[in-house]
Amino acid sequence: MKRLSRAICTTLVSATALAVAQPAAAQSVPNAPTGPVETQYYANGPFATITTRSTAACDTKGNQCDVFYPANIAASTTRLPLVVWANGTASTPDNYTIWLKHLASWGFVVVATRDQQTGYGNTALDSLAYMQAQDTNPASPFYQRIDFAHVGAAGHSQGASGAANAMFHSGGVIKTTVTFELPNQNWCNPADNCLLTPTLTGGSGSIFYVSGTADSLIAPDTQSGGTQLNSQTAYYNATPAGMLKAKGLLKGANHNDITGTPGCGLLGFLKACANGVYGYLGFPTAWLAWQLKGDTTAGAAFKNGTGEFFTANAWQGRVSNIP
Amino acid sequence: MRIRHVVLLMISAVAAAIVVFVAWPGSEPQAPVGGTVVIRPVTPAVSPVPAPVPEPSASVPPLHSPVETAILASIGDPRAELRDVVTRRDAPQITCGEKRTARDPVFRRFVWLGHLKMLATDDGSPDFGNIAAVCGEGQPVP
Repeated sequence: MKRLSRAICTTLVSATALAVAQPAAAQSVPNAPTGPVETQYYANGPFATITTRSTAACDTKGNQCDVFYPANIAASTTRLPLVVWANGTASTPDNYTIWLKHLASWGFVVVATRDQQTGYGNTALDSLAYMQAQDTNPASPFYQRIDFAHVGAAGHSQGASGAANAMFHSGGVIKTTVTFELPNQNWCNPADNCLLTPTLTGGSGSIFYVSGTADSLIAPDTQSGGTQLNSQTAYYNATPAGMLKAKGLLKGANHNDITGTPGCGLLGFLKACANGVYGYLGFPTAWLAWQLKGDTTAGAAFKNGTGEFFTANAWQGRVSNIP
Repeated sequence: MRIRHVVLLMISAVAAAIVVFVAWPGSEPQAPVGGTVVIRPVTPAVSPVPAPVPEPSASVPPLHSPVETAILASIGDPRAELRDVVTRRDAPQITCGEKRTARDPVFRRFVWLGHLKMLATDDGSPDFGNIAAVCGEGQPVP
């Protein structure tokens, strides 16, 4: 079985991943969690994690996929929810390992194509199909391990568009999406390589729009007017009322904070990264735990106006339609 | 009379000798003998119509700066064109200008964030004006 598994995936960093790095002490970094749900999911989950890479292409563009998953997946008595990840422009999963391992530590299997142009969502859907094939392959470590009734998507920047597009074009397989720094439609390049208005207004599922207050150039909270979707608020408002939806901005976070550690290096301004990923770990993970694992306490945090999300110190620009 | 004929004959002979001397083939250029090299002076051809200046072949792409190359690569359209491209001296990761593509053949303003490899295009909204403000020297870089 082990040999067969190796034929499917090559373990890259399993030895080091078994010891999951914990986030920095809550009060030592900006955007520390304040309430119980955010604090719970800000910390890494109970599972050690493994990262593997497909030995062959997993999408139609020829990219490989990285898969982040709990180390005890073979012993799990239940199938695990799946999160499909989409990278930002010119990025790979290597840029998001803290976030992706964090999700895996909470019991999610995360598949991430190494595609660097993910806006259309097609390669994210390809990676979903790859995992569906793995689930039917007795030689795969994911054989009958994935709960395809609970699939979510998440992505950053262009990949936020890709994650949303993947959900809206998945035929209902993908149930929810978390978008990080979803760019204004000004930034669509080419013009259709983004979340288009008709796609959003005709869609279904649930969606959590996440951005940072320092990302005013690419993914601002509000816009000056017009019918284009040039702000998080415009995207939120255009999302059908029948969809569960929420929106919030992490204070001080810039476009690439989800990729970084605190400070993001000496030239952080050149990386559009101010505080690092940590503030993003809590509520986005809680949203996925609610939508894909049935954690109703986590879901209650997003209750419109009164949930914990609305009193968290690190967040502003919050709105939801969660009853 | 006889003397006169003799003088005329002598004059004619001298004149003929002069003509023969001047027209002697030995004064013309000789045909080259095998193995010799003849260098002839090149005289520019005089033409009443100026010769056309050859234009660059259409298959030769124009030269682009590295930042222009990166922008065009992000557009992914071989027919895309840029003009008035200016990179901020105090923030070289930001470049602004105008572009047009095969699908959108009108020149439109753009803002390029090189450190993020992201390109914003003027959609006519006031929001693009907010983005384009970053093109100005000295403007804060978010």
